[in-house]
Amino acid sequence: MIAIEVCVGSSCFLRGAEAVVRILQELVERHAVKAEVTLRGSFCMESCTQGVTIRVGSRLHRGVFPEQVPALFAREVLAELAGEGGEGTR
Amino acid sequence: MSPGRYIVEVGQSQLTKHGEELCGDSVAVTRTGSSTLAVVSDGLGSGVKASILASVTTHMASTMLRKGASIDEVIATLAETLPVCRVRQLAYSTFTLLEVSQEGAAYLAEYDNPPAILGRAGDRLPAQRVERTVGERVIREAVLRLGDGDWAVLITDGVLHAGIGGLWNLGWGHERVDQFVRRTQATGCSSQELADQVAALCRKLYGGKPGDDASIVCVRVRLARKLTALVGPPQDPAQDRPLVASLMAAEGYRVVCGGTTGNLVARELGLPIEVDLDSLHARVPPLARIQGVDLVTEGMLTLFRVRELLAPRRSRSEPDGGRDAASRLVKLLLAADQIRFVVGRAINPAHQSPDVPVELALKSQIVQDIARSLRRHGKRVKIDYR
Repeated sequence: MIAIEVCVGSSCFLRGAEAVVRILQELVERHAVKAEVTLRGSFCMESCTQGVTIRVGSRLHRGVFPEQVPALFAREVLAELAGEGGEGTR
Repeated sequence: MSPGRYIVEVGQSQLTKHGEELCGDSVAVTRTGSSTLAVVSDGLGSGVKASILASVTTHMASTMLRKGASIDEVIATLAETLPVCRVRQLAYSTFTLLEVSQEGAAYLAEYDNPPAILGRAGDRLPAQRVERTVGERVIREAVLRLGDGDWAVLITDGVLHAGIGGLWNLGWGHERVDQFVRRTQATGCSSQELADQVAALCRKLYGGKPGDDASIVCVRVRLARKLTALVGPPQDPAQDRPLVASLMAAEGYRVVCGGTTGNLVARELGLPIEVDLDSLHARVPPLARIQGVDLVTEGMLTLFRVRELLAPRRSRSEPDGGRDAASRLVKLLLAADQIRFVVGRAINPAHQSPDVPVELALKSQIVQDIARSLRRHGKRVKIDYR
């Protein structure tokens, strides 16, 4: 199980958090990993000046642009899930 | 300043006879410090002549009663004043009037309109109507004592006739209107929603082309609903705890605006804050949930949108059934009668803005604009700074 938390506070929202959430929702849908991934919102991760902030597991990513999300998802989520169970999660 | 016990909530809706530009019914609702008076009149015929008869009736009745005249004097004056229709050689208009004090004392007078529909929380309201002849007219009067949740719906005969010869042989009819009103009332809708729903069904029964002018005025007596909204964290962090305590001790709706403020409230209460991503909207950040708080939203962007939604140029009929945080907040604000904004003066360090005074001025300006719009809706609004 991997938790992804996206900050949707004022600053992150203005810098594109909405698009980031939509793309993540779509990726979770497309890769059929709804059971393994929890998507959550947060109101402030105290990195307001550094662009959209998201947390994947325990790792914080700051300054995330929507177009970087698919690569980040592949690297941090899909690869992780593949390594974790070893079967059936692709 | 001290208000009476009750809020008298009034909603109204009208249909104009198909093909006419003016509604031949008139509704006048006037409020003084201590009471609310609603008058509904149906003028003879339709169109401009009917409209004049009806509006002379409602305005004269409202003004005279306000100035302390008796109903007898109003009727006598109307008889002498109403212009006589050249075709029919008649000067005629009906009326129903209901005056309700803030303590719930009410006076109802009906002349030739369908009887007002009265209710008490899903039940019938016992009302003893007494018939009396004034000049040549027979009026029915009742003195009522209304309490929390009691209501009255005043209608003109255009409502009863809906669907005549079509869906219903003899029209919608008093009994069915009565049932519909009671059923709708029981859903807990506001007076305005009730009036709109009755009007909408009435229009539908007329097949979209009302055969008569129709008016609906809904009056409900209820206890004042309060709302307290925290907007931004207080300047002095030592105030966080007492501020949250005062929010949780407040009666009525509790609202928190601002991400940092939401986190602060959750922290002080030792409760989780959960952002609801389903309420995500292209322009408004999602809302969040904290147990015991009715609504938690982001700050500035949401309030900007709230200000837009409450702006006076938007017509009341515009649909705003949005599920986003700003629409929800507007709905709560409009449902409340007495609103208190507690605006925190803390500067968001995360914004690291060189224009800090601008940010504060902007926040207080937006809250003041929202307060002004709400006052226009008849709300009592107070703004405190912390």
